[in-house]
Amino acid sequence: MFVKNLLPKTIGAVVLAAVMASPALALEGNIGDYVFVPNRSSADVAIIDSRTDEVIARVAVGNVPHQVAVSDSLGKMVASNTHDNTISIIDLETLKTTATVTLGHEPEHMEIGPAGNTLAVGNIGEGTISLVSLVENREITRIAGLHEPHNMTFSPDGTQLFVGNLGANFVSVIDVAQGKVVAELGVGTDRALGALSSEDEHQGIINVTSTPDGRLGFAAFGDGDEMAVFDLRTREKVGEMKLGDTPWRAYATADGRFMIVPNNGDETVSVFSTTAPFKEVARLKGAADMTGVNTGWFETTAFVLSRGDNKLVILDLVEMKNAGEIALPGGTPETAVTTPDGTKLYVALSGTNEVAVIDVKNRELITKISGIGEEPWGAHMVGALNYCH
Amino acid sequence: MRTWLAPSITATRAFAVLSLAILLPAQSPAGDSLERIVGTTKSIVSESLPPVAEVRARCGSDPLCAARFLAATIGRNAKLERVVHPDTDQIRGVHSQPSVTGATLSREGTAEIKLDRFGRAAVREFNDRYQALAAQGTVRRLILDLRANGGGDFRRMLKLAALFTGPIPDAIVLHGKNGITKIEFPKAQRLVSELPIVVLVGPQTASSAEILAAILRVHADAEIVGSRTFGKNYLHRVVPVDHDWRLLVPAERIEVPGTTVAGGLMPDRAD
Repeated sequence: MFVKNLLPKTIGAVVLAAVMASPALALEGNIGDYVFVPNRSSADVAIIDSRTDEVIARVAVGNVPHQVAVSDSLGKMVASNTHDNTISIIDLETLKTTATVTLGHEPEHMEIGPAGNTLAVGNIGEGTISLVSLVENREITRIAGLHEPHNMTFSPDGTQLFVGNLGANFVSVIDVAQGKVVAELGVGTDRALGALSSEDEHQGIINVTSTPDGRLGFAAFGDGDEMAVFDLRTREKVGEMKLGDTPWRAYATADGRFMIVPNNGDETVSVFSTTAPFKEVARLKGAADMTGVNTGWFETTAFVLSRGDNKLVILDLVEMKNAGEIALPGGTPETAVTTPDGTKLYVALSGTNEVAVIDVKNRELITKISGIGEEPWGAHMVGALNYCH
Repeated sequence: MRTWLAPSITATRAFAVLSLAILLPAQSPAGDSLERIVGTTKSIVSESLPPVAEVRARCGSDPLCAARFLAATIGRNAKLERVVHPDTDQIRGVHSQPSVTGATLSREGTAEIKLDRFGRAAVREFNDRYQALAAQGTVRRLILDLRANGGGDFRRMLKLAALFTGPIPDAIVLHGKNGITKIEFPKAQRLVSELPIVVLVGPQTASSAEILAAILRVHADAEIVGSRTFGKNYLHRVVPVDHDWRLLVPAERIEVPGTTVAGGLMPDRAD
């Protein structure tokens, strides 16, 4: 266990410098054992060995890395450098940058296709999607016609890409081979405005969250308090439901039984069945500014990340009730990842520059890992249910 | 003191049952963006607007051209508007332009809250600021200052209004292309007690803000003080055009039974 939290700050800095200065360590063993943490302010990605909970490397990337994605088939990690309008492609054998690819304005969120060799990147500042070949390390095409593209979801066969538009109440469907938008799937009612001026803060669709089998996609419309369910094979809308006030997005349980939706306007959390008629099975208490949900331990437990209240809200998914909280004072939890075996949760804490490690079964904090970098923004593991806000 | 706001945000859960689904225009067809823009606009305004084929003949596949053409065809109340892209930190709640810009409590127990917009956190802000005032002392009267409120998201305004009104059938009537639709407020416990309310209005109080004042006059016995409001008593529906533009299409005229908003809401007395 990394014990930096017990060391004085100056000694910690020396240790950190040693990690940074030492020859880059190749990742040993299963790539799925590592947690990748982008740091927005220190422009690097920390790599944590989940077997020891130690930081084994920090890899320099571009400025304001928002998200990382890993292609285990190609042995590459990608970081989206939102400030630089680039992505960094890193070889996981050497931990060196093999390519820096210029994309559109403000590339934020990314999604790797099922085969691991195509990367979709949303250029949220210009309303385009870049499709990148991770084999050739270059942008293949840039697709216009999106509206503040946020998260994206590939169909299981990789032929379609479903894009959540933050600036609209519809999902854009991209035909990957054609490289263009081929459909727009509406969610909820068109927004009603009673105003003289145009300034406002809108929240459209953050994400289309698919069930693990890739059959259904759940898209929540923030300003409309509604969610639609789409058959991702046919693009047909197969369900609609009302949510709480200003829902964020849906998060799938790994067993595919439920979708969990934080409602930030009223600080509640909706739990929906993924089986028609997609009934809301519970509305539980949440907290302020919820930006993530992670599940684990045989999907008995969910952790809802509250940036606003610096805590994790624990939900018991068996009894469908609130089951306590884990305080993270000053931590500002951003996003998190559960290990593929469902036993540990890694939470990026931008407020304290740490990663909290949670025992999922016992629902308690194990430790906080320091020496991560500055402003850790997320956590990613191969084989896990990853997300970014 | 009877608190007139729920002690927690959970009261706003009632908003989830607001039957705003009845405001649904026809679902826009899947297809290219031109079809969506034309189809959605026609469903809101009139089926007599130019068909997709005519728009495409004029504009090709350019959505901005299509939107300009439709706006010109509809007339003066249609607006093609540049999108103000929110900082995504705002979306994540990191920072947000405040909706409540002032909150004070006098020694006599008059709480005055200045509400300048209907931002994403407006209901929470309002609740938090009021609770803070109530913690300072007994609130005997509320002054809601809407003089600088030029309106905003209609749904958000209704969520705020429901804090004051509780369950009201047919509280708002919308007159649109598809006829009359009535909005029922949720059947929830009234959150507002018999607290005297004064709403300050003026010529800059517009649209959703003047509707809120009208609602409070009719359903919360509020006294309206100031000068006549702007007089924009209709909704725009937002039709996304492209990443940087949206078309605001004039949609339903808003009626608040029990008072007149058309031409501007007249106050009960001047300042």
